[in-house]
Amino acid sequence: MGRTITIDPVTRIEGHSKITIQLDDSGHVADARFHVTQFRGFEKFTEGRTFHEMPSLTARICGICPVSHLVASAKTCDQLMAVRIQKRAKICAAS
Amino acid sequence: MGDKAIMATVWLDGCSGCHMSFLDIDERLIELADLMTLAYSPLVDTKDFPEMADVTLVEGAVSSEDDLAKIRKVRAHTKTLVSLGDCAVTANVPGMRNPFLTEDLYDRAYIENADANQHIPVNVIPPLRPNSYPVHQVVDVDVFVPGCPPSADTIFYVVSELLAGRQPDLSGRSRFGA
Ligand code: SF4
Repeated sequence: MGRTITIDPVTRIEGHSKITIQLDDSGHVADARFHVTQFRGFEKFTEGRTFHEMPSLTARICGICPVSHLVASAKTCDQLMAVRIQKRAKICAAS
Repeated sequence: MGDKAIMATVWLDGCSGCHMSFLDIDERLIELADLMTLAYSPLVDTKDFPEMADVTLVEGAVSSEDDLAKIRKVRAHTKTLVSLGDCAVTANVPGMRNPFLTEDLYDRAYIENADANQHIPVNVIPPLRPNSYPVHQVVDVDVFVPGCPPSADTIFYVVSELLAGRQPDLSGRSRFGA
């Protein structure tokens, strides 16, 4: 196996990542990998929390796209509660 | 601080929301750019931390061995270290994992919840420390800026004061969760 080129950290993106590029003996790219290097454990630590905390918590998954996480979580809460949402609120959530 | 101050920003275990709030300073960034050079940051491409930064803003808690190594290095090369945002100040959301064993966190994410390729990554993710800590638990911190995230106005105020050589007075300007 030839040289490994590591780009660490990858900048101007949200989050923590690095890229490794594995070269073969003749210097050609044999493999390239994008590594996500941050793990916080949301999957576990949100278990058992009250549902109305979830939109604010999931928004903290990513500070660049908090809205998508917040809206997804709010929609899930609506479904959990089996409530009918006003049309205007629905439009707001979808936009 | 000489002609132009040297500034840096780093993110440890956070969501980058504090950095987004920093960018929300908008056109006032141009004012700041007259006073400082952003020598190192996830927002720029430089890979090496400067020999000595006048001011470094730190976002995020200290959760992994990498975070710990990074913050120690940053502290050694920074005059005024700022804990920016609740994750840095209290461990906030990353700290919510502290009652759990790290094995249980990995299990839930990579085994129980995985539809395919169930395995716990060994080389990719820097090893987690048993707990997630606020920055000042592992290195000295000079300025604390609470908020999740602190507002752009607050960050602009803090940075402007520090670049002017003054200690920012945060009373009434930011609070936890704000
Ligand atoms: S303090 Fe809030 S906005 Fe800042 S990194 Fe932590 S979760 Fe994100």
